[in-house]
Amino acid sequence: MIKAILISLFALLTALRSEAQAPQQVDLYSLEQFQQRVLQENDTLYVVNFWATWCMPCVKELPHFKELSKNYANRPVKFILMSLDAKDKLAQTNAFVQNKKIGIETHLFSAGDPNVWINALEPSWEGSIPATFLYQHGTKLAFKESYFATKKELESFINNHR
Amino acid sequence: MKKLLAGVIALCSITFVSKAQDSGYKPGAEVADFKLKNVDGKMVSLSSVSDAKGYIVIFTCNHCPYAKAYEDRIIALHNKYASQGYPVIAINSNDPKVAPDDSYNKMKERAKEKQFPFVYLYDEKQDIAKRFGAVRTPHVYLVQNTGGQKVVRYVGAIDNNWEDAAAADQPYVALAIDELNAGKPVATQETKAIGCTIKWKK
Repeated sequence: MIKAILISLFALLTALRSEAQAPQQVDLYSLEQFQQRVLQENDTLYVVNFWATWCMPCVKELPHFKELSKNYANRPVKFILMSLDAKDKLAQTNAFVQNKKIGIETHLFSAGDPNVWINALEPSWEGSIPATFLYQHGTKLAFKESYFATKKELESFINNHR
Repeated sequence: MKKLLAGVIALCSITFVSKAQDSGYKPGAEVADFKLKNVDGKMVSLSSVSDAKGYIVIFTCNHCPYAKAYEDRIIALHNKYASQGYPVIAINSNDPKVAPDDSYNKMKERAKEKQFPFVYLYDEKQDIAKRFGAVRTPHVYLVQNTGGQKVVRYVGAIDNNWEDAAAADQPYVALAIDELNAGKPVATQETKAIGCTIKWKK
């Protein structure tokens, strides 16, 4: 009996372990999926960064997001990366995120006509990336269409609106 | 409680800083002429382009994937519309220190490789991009010559599908020129698109 429990416990632990180590998978995300994900009636603050693997300033600021997501791991703050890479670059985007060990939930935004979805998300958005949004309680709290030179800049952007 | 919540949300939205472009040309704005160096070494101004009913001014560059994806469409726009009075005026404003592929020499190389049928101008001081209010590549300003003035008629994207030209069902720039040539007002005067940021000098 004890042996059986131990075995199942071991199996469970192994399963949990492999779950934790499972490679991160980037998936395609529609505008509806995105809105459902970030517009939630809970206390979680969603920090959403629009970026792309080809975008130099985006890639430069990714480490700030990576580090802060670790710092905020025990708080109700959720970091999400929305890649604007082309649909046929899904595998490359996935490889990029894994190679850099970003460790942040990442989706490839495939929402069709940018003229529709940019205006839906933020009418003042000129269309350049990186761009970062804060959402909480089903509302957009803030938007910034430029890049964070330092981790501190990103941190104060988050804290100023929290 | 609901009212309180609404109040809190209202407060939050006040802190929401909108980054709408206050400067730069909007549809209806009058464009001041400029003079920039072309890839052939000659200085080009809008007025130096003869017989132009207007200009398809496009801020673009060599390195950006979006600009690359649109390269053939920019060539096609020029080939179709230059003879109808609307030539493409391509401008690269990127700082080559930030984007080495966008240096003047690399511009010359790219223009030669692709045999650009249009001028490809180097905005070394970046003041033309700033004056226009261009922020990304590619970023189009369709300008019409009208009664001695150069007036912006459309600002935005080339069409509504950067990934797949065949799937773009709104060729914004082409539609706008067709409307102008038919003596009609432009229906869609402004559009949004994702693009690379213009790489400003630090």
